Amino acid sequence: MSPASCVAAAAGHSGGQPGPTRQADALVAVDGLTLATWNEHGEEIRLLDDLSLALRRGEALGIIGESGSGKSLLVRSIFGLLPKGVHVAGGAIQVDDTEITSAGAAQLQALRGSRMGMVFQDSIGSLDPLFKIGSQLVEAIRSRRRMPQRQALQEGLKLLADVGITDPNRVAHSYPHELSGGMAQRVAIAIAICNSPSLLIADEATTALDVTIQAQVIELIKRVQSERHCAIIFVSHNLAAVAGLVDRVAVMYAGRIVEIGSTRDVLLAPRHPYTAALLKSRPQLGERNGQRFYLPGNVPAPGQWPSGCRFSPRCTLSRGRELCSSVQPALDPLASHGSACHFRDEMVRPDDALR
Amino acid sequence: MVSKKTSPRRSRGPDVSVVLAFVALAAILAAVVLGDVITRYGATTPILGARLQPPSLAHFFGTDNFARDVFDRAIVGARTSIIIGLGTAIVSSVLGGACGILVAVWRGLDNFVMRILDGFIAFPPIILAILIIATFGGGYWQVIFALSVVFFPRIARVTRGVSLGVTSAPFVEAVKVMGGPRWRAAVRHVMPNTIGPIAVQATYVMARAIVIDAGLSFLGLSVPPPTPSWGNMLGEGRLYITQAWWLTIAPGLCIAVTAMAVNIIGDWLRDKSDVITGGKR
Amino acid sequence: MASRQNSITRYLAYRVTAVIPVIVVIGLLTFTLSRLAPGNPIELMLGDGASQQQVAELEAQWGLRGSLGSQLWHWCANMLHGNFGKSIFFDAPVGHVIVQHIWPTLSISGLALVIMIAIGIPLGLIAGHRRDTVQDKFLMSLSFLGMSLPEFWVGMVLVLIFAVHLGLLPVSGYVAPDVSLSGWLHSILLPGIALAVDQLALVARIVRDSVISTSEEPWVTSLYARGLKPRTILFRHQLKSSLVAAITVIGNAFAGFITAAVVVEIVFNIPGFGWLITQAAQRRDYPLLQGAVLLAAVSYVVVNLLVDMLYAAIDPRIRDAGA
Repeated sequence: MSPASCVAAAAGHSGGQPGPTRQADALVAVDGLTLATWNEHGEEIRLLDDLSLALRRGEALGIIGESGSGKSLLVRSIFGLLPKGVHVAGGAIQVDDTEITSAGAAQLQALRGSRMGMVFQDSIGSLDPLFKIGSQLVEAIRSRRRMPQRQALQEGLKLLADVGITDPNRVAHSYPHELSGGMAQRVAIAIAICNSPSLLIADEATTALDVTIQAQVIELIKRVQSERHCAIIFVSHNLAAVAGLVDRVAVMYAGRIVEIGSTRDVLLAPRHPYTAALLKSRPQLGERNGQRFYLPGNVPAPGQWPSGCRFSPRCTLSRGRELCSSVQPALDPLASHGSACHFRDEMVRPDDALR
Repeated sequence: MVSKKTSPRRSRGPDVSVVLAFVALAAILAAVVLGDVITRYGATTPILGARLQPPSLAHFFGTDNFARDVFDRAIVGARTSIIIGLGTAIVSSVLGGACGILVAVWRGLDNFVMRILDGFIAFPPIILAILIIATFGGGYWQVIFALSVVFFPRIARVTRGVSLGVTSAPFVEAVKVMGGPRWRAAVRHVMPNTIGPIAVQATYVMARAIVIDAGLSFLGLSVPPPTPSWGNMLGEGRLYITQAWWLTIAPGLCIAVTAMAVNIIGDWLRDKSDVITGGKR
Repeated sequence: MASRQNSITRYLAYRVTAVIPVIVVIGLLTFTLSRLAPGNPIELMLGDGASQQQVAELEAQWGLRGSLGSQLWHWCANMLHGNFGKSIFFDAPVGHVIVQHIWPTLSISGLALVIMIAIGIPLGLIAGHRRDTVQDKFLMSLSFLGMSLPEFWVGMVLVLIFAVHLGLLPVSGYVAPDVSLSGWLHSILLPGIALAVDQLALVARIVRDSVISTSEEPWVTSLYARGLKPRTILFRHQLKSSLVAAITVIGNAFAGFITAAVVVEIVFNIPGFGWLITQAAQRRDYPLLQGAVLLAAVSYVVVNLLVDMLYAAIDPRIRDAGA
């Protein structure tokens, strides 16, 4: 899909203004979040760096980045599910009226499942292999609402049908390993939304699925957003996947957001060289062998971030300019289409960065 | 949030418990080697007028019903337990190791031998020991033999597992193809890999053997009196349990400390070998 | 669903046939070993004063004349008819003797089983959940202690504390439940605990290891993401996962209790199965010895079989793999 047609599809359903999100009406507000861990010498290493982000109710946001960009860590921290050894070194996260970074375990547990839900990359792996689907679904429903088992099961079956499963009864009596990847992901979504959360986070939810199934699952998530007025955060490394789904896109690189704006703006008129490179490296119809563009170098690992702009070593726009390697470019929080690049104004056309 | 804000400790030296275990074992070995030399009164010498005395400075572990110093008996008794423990560990390792390697190299024997070994494992250990000792009488070699028969199948199983892993390696297949005699392949390639796991198992066997032998000598079925052993000290002390608690506690503590020390060293060995083989097997 | 039934029965059939050679080996072992031992049960029973003629008569009566081969043959043939012979010393059918003495052993084994499960599993779950904390280290040290201590000594120490010192429980002896229920409970409490200690420690360890490894798995993270209470996640989901490994140990332990009870029974003067076997061995009471050992081994095997069946019931992946 060319950027233009992706965006056309996206623009179709996102009615509102993709402008900057004011903190007041935000469902999720991340403010200057810094995550860190320790290496084997006991030194602190930053994993996410002074990151700010806001999400409105009912809005769909895509977070794009390669492995090592910190995108998964970001969404996990919104959920309060950081891996061992990773801690918050600064900043705040607000979900609805709860401050996540200082919340206790009980508070977080109350939020999860009822206000926010999450689906993961390994669809079958994220279901308990020893319990039937129906039982897991009923457990999730009854964890928030008192109701007899039978009623919860009925509701669960209805939910399974809602997420597009044709034989809910059979699936409910199956074990996770008996399902296909796509089916399991539908189940996972059903469990995540069963108590009507206002936020659904999909962490690489379609990455491990076949292409045709991917499209179906993305359709499903779109329906969840529109029918249940649920905000979506969709994390992926695949731009094309999110294009048809989200209203806004944030691009991450080495622990920071380097560009954020409406899907249309970011995909059609990127203002950061990294975004441009990402767009350019997608396979194009009609390209000949050897013609595929690729960006040389690797994403720097945490602890080995270069000084100044972290993308500068691989950036053709910088052309070795002093500013790029000495000063870290900031993302303007008020701009509707922000880019963390000193020379963003030089990017008039997408290809400008790649000369 | 889920994680805590504490910096991880840097890697420390060896655990306190491992050090203590080695110290304890050294003390016990000293007792075994020096034996009668370091006893104050003698293990079999009755002391006039000192029957059933509680522990004191004169008698660290008190005296028993024959007015013998319990501490001295414990020192000499160490010999029985250690000899039987070590002996069993060595014999069962050799037997089990040979068995395991054999079965892995000559696959044809696998099923047959493993079924027989399963029979041995299913056989209740204490009964097996009792039967063998009833047949051959009591004494160091008989007990070691009996306990080795009990334990060697477990070592055989472990060795078989490791050897199977090694023999499926390409270079061993290559040797077979080239027609080299199989036993040569076994000795040169398989054995070095098995030594580590066997050593680890052997320490556990030693600890278990010490404990089971204590049980056997408690029943009067191990090395016969007048040789003191911790187990038969417990057996004798049992009759006086209401009057002389030290007769129960002292020998039992010796057994417990020895078994624990050996187990701790076994765990330490296992951690070391995991590091060498690069992580969990 | 039909295929599930088939795979289970096929699996069972396979396991049962695999077990037969094991039982044969055990039978042969018992037979040979006991006969190899010096000492003739008749002579032992009658003492030194018996005449050769008396001995020969009784030997014939008990079927101890004739070659080893023919004795073996007779024993096997009789067994297949359900006739295990008569105990030489008790002068009663082996079956009766065994049944009389099995109840005390079952009582203390049963109690030990309950203790193992009721204490070992929760301890393991808690230790695994609070990995590397003070509680975990403490529990693991206790478990290590439990595994290294000789069972009978633990029994003796318990007697020292609770019976001699505190006078709460009997020093020894067994009271049948139909005589006095509270007496029965009092008499099996200490031996049951002694028997359970080292296996309990092992169970706790195994469960802890399972909790630690499942905590890394994606479905556990997902369970937390669903907002379930940590208590539910630990005591419902992670518990079920740990059961497969735990049941192996528990089954093994229970099967082993029958005979591990030997020394405990002697410490506590309980006339149980273990005590019976020791007596039979010492007196060369061949029929009783053979019958009892065979029973012990068969029960060991049966318990293991049950354990395997339980695996399949708990973990659906195992069932389907067998299909």
